[in-house]
Amino acid sequence: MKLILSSIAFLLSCMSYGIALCAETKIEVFPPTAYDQATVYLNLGFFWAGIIGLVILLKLKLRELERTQKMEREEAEKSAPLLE
Amino acid sequence: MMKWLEERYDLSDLKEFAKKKHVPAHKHELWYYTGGVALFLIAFQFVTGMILALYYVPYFEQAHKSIIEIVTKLNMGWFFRSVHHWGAQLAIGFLFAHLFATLLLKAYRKPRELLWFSGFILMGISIFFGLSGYFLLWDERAFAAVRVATGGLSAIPLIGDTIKAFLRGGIDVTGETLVRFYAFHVCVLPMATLLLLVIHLALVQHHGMSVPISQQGKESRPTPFFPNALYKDAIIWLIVLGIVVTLATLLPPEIGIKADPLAPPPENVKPEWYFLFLFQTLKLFPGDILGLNGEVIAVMLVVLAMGFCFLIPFFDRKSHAGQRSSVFTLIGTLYLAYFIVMTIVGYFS
Repeated sequence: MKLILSSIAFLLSCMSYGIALCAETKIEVFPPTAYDQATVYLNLGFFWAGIIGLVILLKLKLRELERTQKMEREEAEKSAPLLE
Repeated sequence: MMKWLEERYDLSDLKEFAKKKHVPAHKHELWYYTGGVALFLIAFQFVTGMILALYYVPYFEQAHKSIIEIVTKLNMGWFFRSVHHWGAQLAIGFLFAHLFATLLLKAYRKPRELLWFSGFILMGISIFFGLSGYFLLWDERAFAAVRVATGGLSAIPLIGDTIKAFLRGGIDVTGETLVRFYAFHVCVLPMATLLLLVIHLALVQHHGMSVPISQQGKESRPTPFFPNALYKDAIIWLIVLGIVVTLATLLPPEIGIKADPLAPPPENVKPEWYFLFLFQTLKLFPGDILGLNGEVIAVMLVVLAMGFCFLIPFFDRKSHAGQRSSVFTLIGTLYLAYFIVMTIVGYFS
């Protein structure tokens, strides 16, 4: 039992040393914890929802604008004096 | 707000101008939006760059460490660095798209020659923006890339060595080069960009949008710029902003090992993607061609090709006269094909 526990402790210390070595060479460019990563991805989802909402709003506004402009044009064409 | 302004200033001319401004409508009109997106991304780069400049230390002993601190210690620092990186990539991409669209649709023809020249110079400035920004990382790859890029300048006869020494601030790439590139990146280039942008936009307002020769007479009713085209611009800008933010979140750029001027360059070092076509061209030429330096010949050919492209409004006489010029369409297509093929080859080699 003592031997197994000491072997596990040895393996764990080797792994942590290995992780420390890797951490030295690779610099974290993204939040490392799972909680922070989940928050970032969630916010990205909210951000896209906002963008899609704004795009739809602008599209509707543009369509309405084009409709009124077309109506104005047709009105102007109708009321234009015709040469006999 | 408008009422408040109108009580103080006469805005009638401005209103009249806004009412009269129209955008031609035809099947190639989508290309008009590349310029607007590039403008949006340049503005975006100014804002994110200002935030990063608050924390970056432009001294060779601290530059790399300051970037690590921005990314690892600063609240949302990783995000601002990442959006600045991806904003730059997309800005240059859209600038290339805008340039090639202008070239292929012959929008450079009379009377828009000055628009072409100002846009071409802006493209060059943006590439230098990219190179100087990349170097600010002060990691071994950026260091090697700048050493190669500035070293290639010495192949230009007569003035090459002077330009190289001016950019490097000495014989070799050192801490002096970092200070110079920082000054270029945050002061000289933004000022030059602003000045040229004002000229470019003023010329666009003066001449209006160019209609391709093939579409003349086939246009539909022009679209009012305020607010129709502006709404369309806003929609595209929002989508591009979403793409930049997504790329920045999913693919944050790595930070390499701190540069050591005395260490050998890392293996298979490559410049940023927009330099790959030049890098690959230089690799095509052998060291010695008929007793002449191959690198000098390659650089001279590149300079000649770029000079020809810059002065193309003077060579394309048919477009100048309002006629179709298939030869220059072919030349434009060759330029585009060469750029794409060499970039892909450079990326995978």
